[in-house]
Amino acid sequence: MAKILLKPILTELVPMAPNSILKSFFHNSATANGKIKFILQGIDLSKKTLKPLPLPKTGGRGPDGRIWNHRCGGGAKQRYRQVDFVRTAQKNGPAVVERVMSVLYDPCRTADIAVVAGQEQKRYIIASENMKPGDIIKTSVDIPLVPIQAKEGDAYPLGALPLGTVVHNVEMYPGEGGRYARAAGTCAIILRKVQDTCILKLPSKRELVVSKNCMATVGRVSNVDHNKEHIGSPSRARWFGIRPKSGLWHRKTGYAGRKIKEKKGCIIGKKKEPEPSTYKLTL
Amino acid sequence: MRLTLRLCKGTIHWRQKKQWEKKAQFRDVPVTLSKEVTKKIPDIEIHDPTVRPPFPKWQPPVDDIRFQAPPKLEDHRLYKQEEVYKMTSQTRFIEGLKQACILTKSQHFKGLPPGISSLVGKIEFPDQDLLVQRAIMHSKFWNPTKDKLQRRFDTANLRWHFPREYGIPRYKGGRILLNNLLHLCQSVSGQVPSTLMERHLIPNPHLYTHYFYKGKMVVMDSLQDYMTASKTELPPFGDKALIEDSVNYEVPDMFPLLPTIDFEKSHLYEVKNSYGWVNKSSTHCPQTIFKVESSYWPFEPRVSRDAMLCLGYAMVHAKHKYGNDVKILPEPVSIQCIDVNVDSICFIFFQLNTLDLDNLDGVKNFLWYDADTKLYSVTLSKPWLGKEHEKTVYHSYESGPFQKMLATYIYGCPETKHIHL
Repeated sequence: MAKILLKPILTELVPMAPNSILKSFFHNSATANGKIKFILQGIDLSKKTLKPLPLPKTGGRGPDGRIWNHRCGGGAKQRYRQVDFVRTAQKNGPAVVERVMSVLYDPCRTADIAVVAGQEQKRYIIASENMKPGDIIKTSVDIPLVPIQAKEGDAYPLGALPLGTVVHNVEMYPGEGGRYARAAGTCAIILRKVQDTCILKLPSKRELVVSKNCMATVGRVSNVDHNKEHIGSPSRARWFGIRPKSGLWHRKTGYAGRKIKEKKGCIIGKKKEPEPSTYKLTL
Repeated sequence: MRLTLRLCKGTIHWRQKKQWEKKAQFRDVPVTLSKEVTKKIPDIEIHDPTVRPPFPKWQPPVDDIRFQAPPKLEDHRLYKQEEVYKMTSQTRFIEGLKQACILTKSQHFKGLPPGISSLVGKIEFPDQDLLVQRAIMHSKFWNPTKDKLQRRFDTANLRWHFPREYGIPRYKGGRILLNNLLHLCQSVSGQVPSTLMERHLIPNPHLYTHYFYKGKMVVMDSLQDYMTASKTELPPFGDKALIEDSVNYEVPDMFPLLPTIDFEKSHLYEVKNSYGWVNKSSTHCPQTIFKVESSYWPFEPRVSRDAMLCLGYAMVHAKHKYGNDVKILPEPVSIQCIDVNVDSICFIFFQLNTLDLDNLDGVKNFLWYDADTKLYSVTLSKPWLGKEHEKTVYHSYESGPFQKMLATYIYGCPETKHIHL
């Protein structure tokens, strides 16, 4: 009897791994990247295709059903194209050569995308400024002693490029795919190289410190005049899925005793070690 | 306020809770042993007492289809360990005609071959143009089907809301047009009786073959709409001098792409050569393939796909005739294809000279194509411009495509020798 009575009390007292409790359906990496839309439809995102996938509208709601972003709502129906941000090649091997087949419009991003084919692979990548059908682009992973004078659209590790080169689709960690400078008309500039790291100036004027093995594509992103485009009317903004502001927010100034925030420091692309899990005892 | 015993106890309870939250937390640092211990006992196994054993796998309480595991690919009856390329009638070549020429090792010519162009317009029947126009009207309007069609949009005015249209879908319209045109072609049998006596029109013939390209198998699996087969083969489109000249021709290159880029990779296939018959029949020579295209593809992917299908049919016939290991054919095998759309007809003529398709040296095969031949032209409605533009207008009928179709239909008949002269 005593054993049976003690069982429920013991299960509460015995420390359990918090990850197993907190890791629910919602807050995991798949939902954070917006992949849950495709998982629920039964689409396997690991198989890359050129076929545009159906993309249901969220209306600013997250997977928990609550509003996460108040500026989303309505708009024309869109379809998702699986853009590949990873540019890789074999180490100490020949450079990968691909040909640009066509440059297309993508409703899910501001930049244009390009269909690129080489060997037995077809995929979408982000188009650079002067990319046109018939161009040949290269990718190499090797870092020679003398910096490379690269063409636009080619991808090299940051250590192989000379100082002052304009790049886009910059990786934060080597081999994980480009993360910075992917919007229309943006670019990052290589400022200096310190030992095994490279320091870049991002489009937001912040500095980025990453490994020299991180890949980047040479040149500027396509659709350069995107920031000069005028939407024209509030109803046309709704066609793009932009919902009006609440009207309550105003920009803060140094007037009226408000503090202006300090300039942020550089971003360091170095992975942190996983923290040891904590246990809580409750009564 | 009087300080009672109860009043003091209330605060103590809250403070205890706060204390407990802080003190009862601890971090789970992974267990590490000092070097001295590990040197003494190198093969020590550390057991973490906090890690729980994994739960046993859940077993369904009832035997039901919902809980059953999905069937494995390895259990399929067609499964083979070796991976092959697979081509169906849906594969679209990214490089178009150039890619098809590399895969079939062929030299391509624009226009009709000389044997057929001499037959165009030579044979006619009464009220020919009127009957062809009737066939077009049947495929577009006179069929009673009212299916839901795709919603229209115009790039000139993207926000214009077109009303929903109900009518004959693209594939059905194309099939009706092909049936009617074939019926008109058969009406020539008074002048050319061998089209009726010696030929056999087969509906829905199934092609299943394979060949080796650069040491890897390419399986072709496709279903056509019609095929005509005869007792005798078609006469070759190109003469012997042209075959000898083809040694000097260089097939264009498509670096950095490989020509096998568009094939699907599969483990499910059969190793057989068949073009429809289970047993060998008297009319065993395939002559003309008829195919209805329902997609909005331009002519180049259509021609390149049909060229591959022609290669498949010619290859199967050559293997039946000369054996499986034949490389250079003693006599060429020729196949023709008619690809019908709702408003256009493509003509493809293929002559198989060699089956040595691994390298691009030596004698080449031949490919003639006459594409982009429209039966009529359409001006679509643009209602925002005014009342005059409210209706879609079908105009400028052309008689040329049907004359070409009639010429390809009667090609190879013994009666046509008099027409050539």
